[in-house]
Amino acid sequence: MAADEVILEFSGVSLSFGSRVVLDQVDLIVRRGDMASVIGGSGSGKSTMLRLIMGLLRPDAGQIRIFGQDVGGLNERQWNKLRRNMAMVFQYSALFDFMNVADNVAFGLRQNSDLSEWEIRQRVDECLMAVGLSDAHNLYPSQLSGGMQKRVGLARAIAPRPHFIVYDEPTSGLDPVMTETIDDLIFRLNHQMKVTTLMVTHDLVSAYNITDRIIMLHGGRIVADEPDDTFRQSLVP
Amino acid sequence: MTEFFAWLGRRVISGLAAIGRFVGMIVDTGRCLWAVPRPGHVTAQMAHLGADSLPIVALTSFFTGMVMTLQMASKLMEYGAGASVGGIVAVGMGRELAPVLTGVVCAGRVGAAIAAEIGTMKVTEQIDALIVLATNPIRYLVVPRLLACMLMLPVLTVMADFIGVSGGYVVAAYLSEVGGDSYLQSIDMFAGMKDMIGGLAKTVFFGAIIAVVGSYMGLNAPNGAEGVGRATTRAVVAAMVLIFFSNFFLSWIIYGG
Repeated sequence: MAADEVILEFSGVSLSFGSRVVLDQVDLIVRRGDMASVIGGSGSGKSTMLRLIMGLLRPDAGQIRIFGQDVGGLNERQWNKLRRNMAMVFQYSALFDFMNVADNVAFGLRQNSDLSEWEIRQRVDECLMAVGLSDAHNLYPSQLSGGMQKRVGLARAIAPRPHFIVYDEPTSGLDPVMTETIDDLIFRLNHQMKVTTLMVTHDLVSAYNITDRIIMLHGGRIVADEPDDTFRQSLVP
Repeated sequence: MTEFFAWLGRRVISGLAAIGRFVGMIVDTGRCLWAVPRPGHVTAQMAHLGADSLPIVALTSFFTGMVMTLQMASKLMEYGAGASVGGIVAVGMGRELAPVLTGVVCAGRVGAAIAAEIGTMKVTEQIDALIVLATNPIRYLVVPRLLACMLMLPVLTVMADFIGVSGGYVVAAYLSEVGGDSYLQSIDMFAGMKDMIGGLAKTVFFGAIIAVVGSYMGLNAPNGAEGVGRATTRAVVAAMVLIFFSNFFLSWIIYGG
């Protein structure tokens, strides 16, 4: 992969729910190694953008290219091939509540990789150690605190070693101490693994801590797309 | 007037869209059946959805066999036909009562469980997580439940047949003048394997109805706990209606007009 390779490209992407326009002619490019945050008010289309990227929604108009591939005409098999290089960390973790932590982290590997069970267990151990939950293998999601669930969600996302991770409000609902812990974790993991990152957040401090590019959505449109230090100094509505 | 037609149009369109989604899910499920799921998933569902239903199925069929014999015995004895009670109970249980009762009990217990489990996964974004992890939810969630229901309902019905007839025997032998020997001889004379096999064939369809309807309602549950509750209720009602509806046509096909 070239350093300036375009990982994600939105060209004139629009989406409406009924009469409500959520995204309006959005253009966006994310290159390999970018660490970008999408900020904006509630209902500004931030999470919708992530759902479009992961193929959970289809745009009404426009084109989305991921790893250079137009996803508009992909069938399920082609989508799944693409998704094996991507990961999403959900706002409320979305852990499988009928599985323990280790099985949650191993899920993607068991479904989509040729790794042996021994290799999968090794990988699970590595990922849980990376998020500071080495002793949580046998716990179920209902036995975990909100911060621990977020960390397991993060471990599950990084286990298949994706090239591109999207985060949906990774620190929402956490206290300031846990928010800082999660911010540090995401920052450290992304730098260690050199993963392209797109993070949706309400939390401007997290955005400054983790990413180096801020994209602001307002009224379904991108109204600012700047390096974080420029953004800090600018006045945006 | 215009408002009425607009409302009617919206209802018709949403109804057609729901039918389209339901048929689409059946087609997807059929396609996913070719990729055999992991045996462990199916056996876990067989234990969860099938074996755990045995106590309630046994209780229901035992008392149904008892009450059927009680009612038949008093009437048929009046006409001197007490010797045919066992056969009537066995044929009735084998052809209709055991399959339909098992289907209805499982629609209530299993259909509700499927809709609630999948509905909860839907509203907590676990279904989205499956998709993001490159896993087809139909293949992972619906197919094992479908196979488990189609395999376990006939097994439960065989048990319901025997338990129901046994319930009848208890009444015939100890609570009426029919007599245990007469009851058993009558079964031997009137009932055949066709009665039981026809009933079992129907339960394969009932199992499919319960699994597919429960899964559909779960996958289309509106957001929130209330949505899951509504989906669960709808799954039970729709599965029961479809079981009674299909039972008529299946009986017609299997046993003739």
